Amino acid sequence: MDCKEVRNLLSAYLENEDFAQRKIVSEHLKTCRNCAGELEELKATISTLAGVEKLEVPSDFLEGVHRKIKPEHQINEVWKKLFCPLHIKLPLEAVAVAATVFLVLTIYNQIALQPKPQRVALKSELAKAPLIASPEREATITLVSDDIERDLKLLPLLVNEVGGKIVEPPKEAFVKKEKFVEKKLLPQAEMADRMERKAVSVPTRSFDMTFQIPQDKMSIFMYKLEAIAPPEAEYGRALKSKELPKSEPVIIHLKLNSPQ
Amino acid sequence: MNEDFILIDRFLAGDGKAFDELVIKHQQKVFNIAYRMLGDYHDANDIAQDAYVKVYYALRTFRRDASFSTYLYRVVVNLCKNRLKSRGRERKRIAVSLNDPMETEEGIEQREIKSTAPCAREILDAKEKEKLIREAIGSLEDGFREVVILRDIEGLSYEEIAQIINIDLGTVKSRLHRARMTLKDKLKGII
Repeated sequence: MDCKEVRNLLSAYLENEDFAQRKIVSEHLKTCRNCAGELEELKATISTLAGVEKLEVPSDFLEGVHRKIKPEHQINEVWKKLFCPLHIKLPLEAVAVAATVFLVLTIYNQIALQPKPQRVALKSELAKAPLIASPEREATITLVSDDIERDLKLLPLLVNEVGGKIVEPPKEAFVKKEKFVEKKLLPQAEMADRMERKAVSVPTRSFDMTFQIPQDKMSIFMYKLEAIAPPEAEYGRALKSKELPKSEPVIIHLKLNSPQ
Repeated sequence: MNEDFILIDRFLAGDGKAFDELVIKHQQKVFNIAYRMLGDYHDANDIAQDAYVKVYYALRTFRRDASFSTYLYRVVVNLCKNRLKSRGRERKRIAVSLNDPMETEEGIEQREIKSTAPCAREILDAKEKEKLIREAIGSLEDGFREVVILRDIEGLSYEEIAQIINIDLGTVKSRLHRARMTLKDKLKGII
């Protein structure tokens, strides 16, 4: 075994792998000072890496995670903060009566104090609204799923969870996609590195579906969608128009593909 | 039953505190993996938190064919890789080639990179050494960086690393050796 081969085995040697090879390396190291030196340097590198400082997690790390898990978790926290410090529990009826009185008063104030010109403003806003869905309120997302059957069951649940509505249920479409494969040109060893790239059609399972998601639930929906897809999956970005009235849902055309 | 799986079951049954326990239990390792991958404290904090947010929404679909920690580390490593990719795109936009002539008050001159190797041993204090290690790890190629971090800094097994990065054991070993040899050369002056 020459020095180059021995050096390629030094990590394995340090990790106590392959007893037979270890013996050969060990014999070589006894007679070769250069390789023995390499081994010492490698050991020093590994121990330097093992000894790097481990940083402390910032004290508000968990709080930061809570802040990012919006809005469900936050709402739970708000409820807890509102009601947990109270030693007496309010009866549900009392809360409901108070909430109804508050709501009636608010609506009454809105109607009584609403200036008339606002109706005109509402009309003009309606006039601006397009009759057919504008492209800005639509988004196309492609999801590469490692388990298409599971995700077909999960997606409607997910849409439901965020208060969305299924417009078009999943429809299967078989598509053939081109994939490049490398093909050896000549079998001889000296030509083995000469390859030819050739396109072949690969059948891909694909499902198309359309649904509506309330605008204020879009970020939570995207989070949940990411959770469905494995971390390596690629997905498009949902586009949202700033001019889109808050009440308008976003229409999502989703393509669920099996990996190629 | 695995302690993490018990916590996951409690979380899925509606106990939010169980998720917090999962965060606290693994946060040190998750944070340090992100820090070593990205070399920046604030970015590491951001990405480590994002990993937990992602896991929070994915726990329902977590199939338990690997341990929870393996799954969590896979998420954080992938998020770090994405962040590094987007950083790379940013950097390309503002990058100045070291061969480009540099404009100074005396006129235009060639850039020079001074070697720090000869007197490095004498002047390095712990902080500078740490910085050089960080830079050396940062200069490793994608695919090699995470292997050396997970093995030599975080002490994970080959099998776990293979599952996290989704490569076979042989590739883990060969990448680890190459990454170590590169770091050995880069850190020659300080170890």
